[in-house]
Amino acid sequence: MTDSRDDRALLRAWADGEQSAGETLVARHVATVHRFFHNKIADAAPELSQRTFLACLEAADRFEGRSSFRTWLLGIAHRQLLRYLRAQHRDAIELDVEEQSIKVLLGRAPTSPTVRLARHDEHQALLAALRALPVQMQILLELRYWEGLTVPAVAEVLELAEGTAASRLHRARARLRDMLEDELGREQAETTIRGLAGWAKGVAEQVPRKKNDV
Amino acid sequence: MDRPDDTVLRLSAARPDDSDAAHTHDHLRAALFGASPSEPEAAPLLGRYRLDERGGVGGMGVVFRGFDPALDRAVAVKLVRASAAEAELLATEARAQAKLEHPAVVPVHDIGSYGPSEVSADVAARWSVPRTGVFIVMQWVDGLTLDAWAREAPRPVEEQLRVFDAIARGLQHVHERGLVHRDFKPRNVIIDADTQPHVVDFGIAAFVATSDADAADGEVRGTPRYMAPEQHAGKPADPRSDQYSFAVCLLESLAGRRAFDTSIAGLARAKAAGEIDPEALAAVPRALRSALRRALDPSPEHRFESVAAMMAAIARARRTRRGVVYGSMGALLAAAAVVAWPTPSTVDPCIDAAAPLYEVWTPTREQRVAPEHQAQVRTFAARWSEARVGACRALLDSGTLAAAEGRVLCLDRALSTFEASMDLLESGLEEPRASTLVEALPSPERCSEPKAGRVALLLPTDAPGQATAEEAVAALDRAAASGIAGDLDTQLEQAERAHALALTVEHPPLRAAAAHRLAWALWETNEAEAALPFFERALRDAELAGDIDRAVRIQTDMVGMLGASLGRYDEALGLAMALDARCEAVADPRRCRAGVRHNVGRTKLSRGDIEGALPDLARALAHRRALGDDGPGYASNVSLLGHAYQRLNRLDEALESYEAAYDWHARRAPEHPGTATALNNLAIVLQRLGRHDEARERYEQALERFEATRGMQSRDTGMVLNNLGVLHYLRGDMQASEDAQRRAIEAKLASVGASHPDLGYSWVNLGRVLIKQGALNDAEDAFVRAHDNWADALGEKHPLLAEPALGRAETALASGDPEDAARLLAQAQTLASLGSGEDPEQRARMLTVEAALAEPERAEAAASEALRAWQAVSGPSFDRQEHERWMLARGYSVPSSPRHDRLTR
Repeated sequence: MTDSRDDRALLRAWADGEQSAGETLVARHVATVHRFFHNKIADAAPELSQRTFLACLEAADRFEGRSSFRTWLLGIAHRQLLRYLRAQHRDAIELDVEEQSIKVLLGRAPTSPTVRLARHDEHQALLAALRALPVQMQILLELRYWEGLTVPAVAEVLELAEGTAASRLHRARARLRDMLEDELGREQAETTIRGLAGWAKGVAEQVPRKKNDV
Repeated sequence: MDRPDDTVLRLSAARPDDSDAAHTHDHLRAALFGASPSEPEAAPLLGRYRLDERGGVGGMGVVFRGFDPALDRAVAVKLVRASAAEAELLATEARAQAKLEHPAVVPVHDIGSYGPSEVSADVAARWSVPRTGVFIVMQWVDGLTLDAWAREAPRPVEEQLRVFDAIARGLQHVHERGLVHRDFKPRNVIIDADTQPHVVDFGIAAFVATSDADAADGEVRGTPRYMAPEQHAGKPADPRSDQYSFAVCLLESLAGRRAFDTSIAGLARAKAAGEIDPEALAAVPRALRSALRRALDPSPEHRFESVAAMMAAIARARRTRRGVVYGSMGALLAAAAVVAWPTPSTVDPCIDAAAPLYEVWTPTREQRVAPEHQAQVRTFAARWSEARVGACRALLDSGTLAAAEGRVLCLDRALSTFEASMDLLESGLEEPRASTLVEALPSPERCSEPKAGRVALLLPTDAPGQATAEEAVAALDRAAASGIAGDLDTQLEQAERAHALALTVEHPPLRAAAAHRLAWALWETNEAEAALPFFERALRDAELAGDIDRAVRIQTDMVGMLGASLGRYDEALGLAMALDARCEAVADPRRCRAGVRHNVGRTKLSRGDIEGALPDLARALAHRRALGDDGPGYASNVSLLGHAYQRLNRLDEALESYEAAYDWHARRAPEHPGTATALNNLAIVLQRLGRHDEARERYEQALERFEATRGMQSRDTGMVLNNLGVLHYLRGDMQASEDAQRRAIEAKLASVGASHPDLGYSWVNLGRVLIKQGALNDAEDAFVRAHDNWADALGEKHPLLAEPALGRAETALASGDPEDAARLLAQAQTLASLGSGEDPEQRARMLTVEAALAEPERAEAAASEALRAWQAVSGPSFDRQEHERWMLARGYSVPSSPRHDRLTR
């Protein structure tokens, strides 16, 4: 049942007509692709995942193995998502993934992911906050922190310059934090708080933020 | 300064797990591998055209990539919902367009109506096209729409201008033939593989009800974001309306943001009022701004007479400005020549050498700067002018270019920095940022020092890429000014822009500077991980450019980041060793060594190697003193030294260091929150030294400053109030302590919210005050709140939870419930053992409770052990004195500790 071939070999075999290689490849990556679509357009996730794997099969010749297969596949998924949104979104609004959330682009509230997903109220709030972000920010965060992609890989999927991806990732995090704070009135625990002189807990010394001159 | 970001932890925790994909997996198995593949369907036909592939949904209908078998060529077929009358008008328009012949214009080949007989219900549903309407056939252009092209990669200003220039020629051609586009927008321009633009959809918007149109004003046709104000008002469009839309596109493309910062509903009003987003304008090269403003004038008659005239004005403005302000030797000589032209030759040719200044600084602009900074701005202008004239004279006297070149370049850089600072000051930058920025203005005189010649040439000397490089340098300056002013988001944004631009120029010094700035900006926003590759890239380019000074500065920063932010101590220290040798090769070895030692010290501090950090920080400081360095690096250095001494319990030296930090802040910017921070740190040491009155005075000053800069109820005021409450407690002033803790709680609630772990500290401290006041129920309540707060924020198994447990044990003891006290004490001990560090004061308190609970025969020994524990805690305290009184009351012996006597003297 287990096939020890690497993704590239499986893809080539699938393209040459070996169905079982395709099945193995899909099994390996279906979760990633599904996750990519699920928190955006839950009801279309199976359909979009299908289109993604089909497009990947069609483009198999063009996969050179310079990036990992998963990164390459996510790039295809990303293009499928944009294509889908372009076809769906109402014409009154320009498709602008840098500014508009999935809700605005779909012209309807996206179907919420299943309750099973949200093991916790807080997770539910977080998933909702993600969906309220501009789509590109949502994707940036999910790829980086759910899929564990490196910044260069995220940049490749979104077809952005690396510096742009890095700074947008920063902005996305800040935006998400703001949204969560608004919602929950909660802030992160600071590690700078240090006990001092015994019980005088919370007597914090502060380190100036300037590091050194540039 | 980096800490695990709670947002990221929560985000990671909410990742849906793989089992959620089961349904999708089933679907794929069936769709891809189960059922037999379905036959590809034949492409539908419309008239003689074959519709091969559905493209995007445009502003008004669906576009197909189609094929014309008659002429054997690819075509674009657009299907539009239209009435018969509209179809007729469209056909007329198409005939007029047949006259057009221009490389940047895509004319309509064919037009016709279709009905349900041509488009089956099946096809209509599958492609979501109207079953009745008009089809428009155009030449197929393979490429990207202008907006997609702009997003695909960073496009340098000159490349964008080249494209827009070609578009303008197309529009001009159309206008000269009496036609108007009426719906010019980025999606109606296709850029082909040769970067040639092709404008599509001429005049179509006028005849077809587009779904873009805002339903509220049914007569409006076009795309709201780009249309001219007269189109919003329902008036007919003319070529000047196209000029307006073209200018919106150009502005948005160059600025990378919307021209009007408003919702669709507010657009018409904003345009009629001429309210262009100032931030969008600011992001555009200065030379283009006035032309854009004019083309975006609400009244058509105030715009340029044609699109061609607009582009000519832009070209003119760019030539002039580039020649005067930037540029190196060529510009210097050119300026002298230009100056000589209108004046008699007997006049000093250097008299106008400072002319570029007056593009940046004028009395009118100065008036817009806050009054308290006007004098400094004027002084800079005067000093720069003098230095620039001096450089011109030096050139004329010596006749050698090499001698003056460094000075002129250095002054150009200084002016450019000044320009970026003026932009910020004029925009009403608030305090203390404005003060910091003005303080940081460069010194023009430094450009006359011999080493000014070593300034790296950020601008390439050859023509290609020159304009882009200028943009990049301007963005770098804005980034630096924003960073100094504390606006880290803008710093990052501008650094990113500079970096993207610099990548398109083959000039390593510029690339190195831009990558370095981007790395720095990322680091400052706590993205150390993301910053690393940019530091590495900057280093590579600096080495390539032979710019050792920058290379060494980059590596010095990397030491600090690897060590203090990423915890990669060994790499940081290894790099520092290599740097020690490199410092000898730079222009200013001492400054280099100071930076390296400083960051090595920080690294060791972060690792907890306080003993090791001390000599490094001390040496860094010695270097700085020898250099007369009085910058922020000095303040940071003495402050770090203070932390090191204080952790080593070398309190006198800690005091001295913190005092130096305080002096620096008080002298440079007394109103800056940094001053309050320094006062707070100073007070902590004074408190530990038992100098309670002085500590109190410092805390109160810190509080006052924080209240003035951060507001009455900020996190910082909460912190100082907490510290002050602790001090009152140690002095035995319980009422004052209670008041301070209650105010601290109020400030923390208002600033960080009820669930922030900052709150727990004040609840614990308040609880302990309340025990001393005999309010045992309230004390119990405070400890329970502390417990809940920390348990929610940090989890049930956190060592901090030992504090509320111990507090409750003390409360139980005071209430005469030894059994409960024993149970809670055991709980506290278990929780405390989860932590790694030893807290001497907590230990003393636990032993005190133990002594009170001990059997009579063990009581004195236990009390003595507790006393020894108290003696290990620095500084006198109310609790310790109470314990001593308790022991004396029982007739136990209380030996005094020499250390205690010294501290209380």
